[in-house]
Amino acid sequence: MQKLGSKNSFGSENVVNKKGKLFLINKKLHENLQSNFFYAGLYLGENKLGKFSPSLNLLSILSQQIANKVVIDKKASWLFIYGKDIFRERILKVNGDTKKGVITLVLNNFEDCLGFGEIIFDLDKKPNKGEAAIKNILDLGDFLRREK
Amino acid sequence: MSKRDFFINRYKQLGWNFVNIRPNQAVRINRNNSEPKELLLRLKNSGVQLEQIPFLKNGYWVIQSKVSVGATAEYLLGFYSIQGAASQIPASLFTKIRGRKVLDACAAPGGKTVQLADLMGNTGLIVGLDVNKRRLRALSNHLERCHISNSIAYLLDARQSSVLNLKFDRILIDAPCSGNFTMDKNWFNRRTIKDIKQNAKLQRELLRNCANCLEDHGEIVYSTCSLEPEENELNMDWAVANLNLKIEKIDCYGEKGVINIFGKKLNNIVTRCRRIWPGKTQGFFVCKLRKKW
Ligand SMILES: C[S@@+](CC[C@H](N)C(=O)[O-])C[C@H]1O[C@@H](n2cnc3c(N)ncnc32)[C@H](O)[C@@H]1O
Repeated sequence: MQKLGSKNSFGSENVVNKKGKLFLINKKLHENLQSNFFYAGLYLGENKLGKFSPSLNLLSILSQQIANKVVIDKKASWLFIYGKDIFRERILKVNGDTKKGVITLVLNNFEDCLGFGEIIFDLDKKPNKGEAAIKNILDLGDFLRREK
Repeated sequence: MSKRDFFINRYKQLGWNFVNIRPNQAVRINRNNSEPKELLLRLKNSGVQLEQIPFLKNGYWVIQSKVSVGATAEYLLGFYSIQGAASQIPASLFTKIRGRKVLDACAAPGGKTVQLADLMGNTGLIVGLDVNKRRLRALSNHLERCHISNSIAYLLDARQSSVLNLKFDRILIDAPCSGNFTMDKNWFNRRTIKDIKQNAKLQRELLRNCANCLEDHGEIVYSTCSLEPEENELNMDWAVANLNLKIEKIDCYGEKGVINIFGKKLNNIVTRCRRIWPGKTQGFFVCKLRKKW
């Protein structure tokens, strides 16, 4: 979450870890939860080999707070949810860090969170034509790909 | 007589003349995540035209769509779910559901779990059960996509729901059933009375076990997408005779439950059920029961 420029943290008492998968659970759910659950509360993401992969739910929560964000246009939004990277000229607005290597949330022009990516070309520099500026790491289309 | 004629003849005896239909595609707006007016406009701009279904609060027919309604950003953001019109009815029949403890006994892939959570404004608790792991994964994806936070899902046979040691205020039994011909071109060839009876037996076991987990005054909504009376009216007649349940009046789309089943006369109260013959929607059956006290 820090990598995304967020200062958010969830109280550990509210987070349940099931085989590396983290779920945010409220009091009512906690009181009724049995350890053999399959899914519970809000899924936050997965810890795998020491690396945390945030869920789209978590990204959506973070996008409503202070974090690195870019807003992209309609065409790029469509392509992004099909797993594509983002060109500089398709970025309408930038919030937070703009440097290469930074992780940023990706929002459409309604400011809905579509996923996140890595800045691979400083956003304040003029890119070469046809060169992507943000590499797609996770996008909403993942929901469709999982079902296949 | 062909198998097809056999079933068509049964429907005729129950008061319906067979027509081969394909139900219209429908969606349900998740009100926790989006405002209908805004969403309709956004979708229109993407080439998807919706029209409100007169008998459903949050249900819309898909009138026209240049893109797949299951692949838009708005769908992936959980603003709406794809859910047949008739299958939007059962969850809507519960009274005062906010903040309650709800059991969704046969929950996967979660169309109705998400609808229940939406009606509950993500308050209270939903426990969703299913015996099929692959379908439970689809349920989990559905809960995640729609930002549901009040639900717990277990891989558990609902006939064993007592192991949860919980009493529920509301129970949805959207039972595994024989389905109907509108969803399966090969239905008439695949189905036999024997497997309909087997399903009916499983459904009674589900009813009995779920009724044991119901709070006093609690409600059960029972539904199937079967047209066969063994899975519907006959099961409800059995439930009022054998379980501590009565059938409640409901006000929803559909026709009265049939009480003259191939010469057998059922309890009059079974007319309170609703039978939905295929037409604009697929075939469906729904009944609301309340625990006697
Ligand atoms: C009609 S589907 C439920 C659809 C679901 N309610 C929805 O709206 O998306 C019936 C489900 O019951 C499940 N099932 C079958 N036998 C069961 C049992 N004994 N206990 C719990 N679930 C069962 C099936 O795996 C199937 O997913």
